[in-house]
Amino acid sequence: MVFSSLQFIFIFVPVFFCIYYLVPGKVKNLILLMGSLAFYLTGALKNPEHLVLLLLSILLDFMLGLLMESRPKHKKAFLSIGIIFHLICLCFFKYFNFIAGELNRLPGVDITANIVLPLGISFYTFQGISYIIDVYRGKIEAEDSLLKFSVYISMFEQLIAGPIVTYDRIKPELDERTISKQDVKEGIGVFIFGLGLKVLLANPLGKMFTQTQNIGFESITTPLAWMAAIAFSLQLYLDFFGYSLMAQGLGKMLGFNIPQNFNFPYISRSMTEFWRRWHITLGSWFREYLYIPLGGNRKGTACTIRNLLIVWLFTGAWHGAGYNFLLWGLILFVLIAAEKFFLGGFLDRHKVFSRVYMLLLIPLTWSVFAITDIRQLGIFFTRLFPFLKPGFVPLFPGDYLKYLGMYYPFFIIGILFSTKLPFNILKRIKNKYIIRLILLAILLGSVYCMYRGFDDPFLYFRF
Amino acid sequence: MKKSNLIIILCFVLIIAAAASAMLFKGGKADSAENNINTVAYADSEDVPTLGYETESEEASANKTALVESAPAEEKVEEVKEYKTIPMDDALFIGDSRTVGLDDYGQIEGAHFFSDVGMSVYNIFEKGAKVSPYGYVTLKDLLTDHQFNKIYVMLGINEAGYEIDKTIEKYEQLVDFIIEKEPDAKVFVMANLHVTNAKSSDGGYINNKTLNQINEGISAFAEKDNVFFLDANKVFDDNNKGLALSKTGDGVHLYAKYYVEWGKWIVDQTAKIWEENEF
Repeated sequence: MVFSSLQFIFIFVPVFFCIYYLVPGKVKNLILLMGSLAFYLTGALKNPEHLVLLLLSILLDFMLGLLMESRPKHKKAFLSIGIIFHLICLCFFKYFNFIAGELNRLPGVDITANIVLPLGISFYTFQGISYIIDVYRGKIEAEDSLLKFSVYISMFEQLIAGPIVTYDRIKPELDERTISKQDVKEGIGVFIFGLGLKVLLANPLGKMFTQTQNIGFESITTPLAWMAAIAFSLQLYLDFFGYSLMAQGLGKMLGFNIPQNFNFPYISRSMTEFWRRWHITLGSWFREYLYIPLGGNRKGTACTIRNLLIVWLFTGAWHGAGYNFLLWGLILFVLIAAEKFFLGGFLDRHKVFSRVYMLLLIPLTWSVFAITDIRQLGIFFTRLFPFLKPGFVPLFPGDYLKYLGMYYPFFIIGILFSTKLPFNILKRIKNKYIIRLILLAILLGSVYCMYRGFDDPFLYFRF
Repeated sequence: MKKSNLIIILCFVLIIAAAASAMLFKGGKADSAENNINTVAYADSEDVPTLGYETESEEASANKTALVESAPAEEKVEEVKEYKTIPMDDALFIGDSRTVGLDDYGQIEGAHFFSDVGMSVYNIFEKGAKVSPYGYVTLKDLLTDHQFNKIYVMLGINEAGYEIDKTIEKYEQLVDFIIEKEPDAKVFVMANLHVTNAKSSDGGYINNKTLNQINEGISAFAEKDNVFFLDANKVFDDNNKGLALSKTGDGVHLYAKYYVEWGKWIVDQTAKIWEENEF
């Protein structure tokens, strides 16, 4: 079950929140845990072992936290057990298919690989690791309530796609939280807004990129290739930003302050700035639990470069199993290292150049992220930069005009919503009556689209 | 240990036990599903978010790679005969999104296309289309105002959710209407191209069994005067009688470069029929 589904909005949300608001404060954590496990189970029905893994992961981290406090002499060993367990699970589920696929290329090797990745493993693993490291460091006290700890790991609003929340941030609200009417109203508004970004903007832009893939990159014109790269960049942002807003909105409705995950990344003037504004909780996690423990930038230039390389390769690998993700991480490393040591100052001083620099790099780097087949990625780049393979004769020279005609409103609105402008306007009218009408229109529009997508037999009129 | 923690642990243990029983049950069922590996392999991707940041979407691609792509159908060695090039500027193609693809990428010089995404025998008389160079027209106006000597129809995939007999009946009404409006034209009813076996087994309305039933039904129209049936599936199928995975991105539509092949095949087949029937 995803947030942008009719089941979630019309069954899960009303049933869960009715119970959640009716029970007394002391029982709310228990209801939240039960609701979150039920939410997770709907996504893991075909693979119940994934629920087992989640519960085992919760139990292990909880016990390790307590053991680290009660037996401080062995806390390093307990920490190692936790980290090794999480990394083995993550690597096995995430990379087994990929590695087996690569090994199968060798003569005489035939490994059957059909491992299904457990929902949310990348996120709850990172939350679990952050918890045991923080207990090890003495930054937080180990939680002695399994209920509260289970809620922290499994809260449904951030279980599948983050934001990645650290325990110290959420501990006060796990102990005691107040939910005002204003919070609930705001939460509903933020959720609907996020839903609209995903369903009404990200999905159509995603469809445009998919259509380009279905044409075959070898047959598209250069303008269409750039449009596809921009469409994917907008889709990825609006989809993920929308999802994070939905999580924040649900968090507010539950009485939690879920951290902001995006801060207008597409207005950045350097890749370094971009990654401070994009998926903020993941960036913070890598900085706090990998970059700084490795020595950060405190041990000289060579070590800083090494640490950056490790962090960005891990970032690439975390996003997916494939050579393109490693390549993507490597490219980001090169850009960020270059900005750190010589390019940053230049970008700071030259506003126009830095804008053009980022406007080119954003779609180019996301293209490497999007196209998992390296051969196809190569073909796509020859279409983006036709001088790489001259002599191309398009089968349909006007393809970009066709798709521009179909998708220009989504491009315009998508670009607009990547800037601060619409959000500043929304802030101004936040308390006015019109915002309710806008939100109602967004909700109805989104529900209509979801209905068309999931239940309407006329879905098949798309061919 | 706190009493409340013990209760939660007990609940976890119960859930784990329930999950273990479900896994055992699933294991038993899997054995019986062995012969239907494609269905099982593609069954898990429904509920999963779609983007790379939600890394769980890997599941879908993992499953996709687990499908073994069937080799393209072995080329049957046929005597290659050159037919006279035939002009196509008097040809009209009527169809859905796959015909839109043929229009965009098929390289059929001079042909006209009355096609749109979602076109079906159920809406073709109400739904207009933009036909170069005539502008936005209905099918009735197009056939009344202009003369075509070759008319190709490929519909059926959007009708896959409907009752097959009803679809065939509506299809026949369309063919009869074309014959009535253009009595001198040759009408080519084209078999629906298959979808990939992965797409066919995803549990949706669109599957090769239904498409084959529709194709069989419409092939009977060839008994009418000046109506011919063309089936290009042998060109694009793999050995398992599904659209070859290497020729499509979404399991339904051909990659652009294969529309060129399809267009050439249609022109060649038309030339063959022309020559054989001494038109």
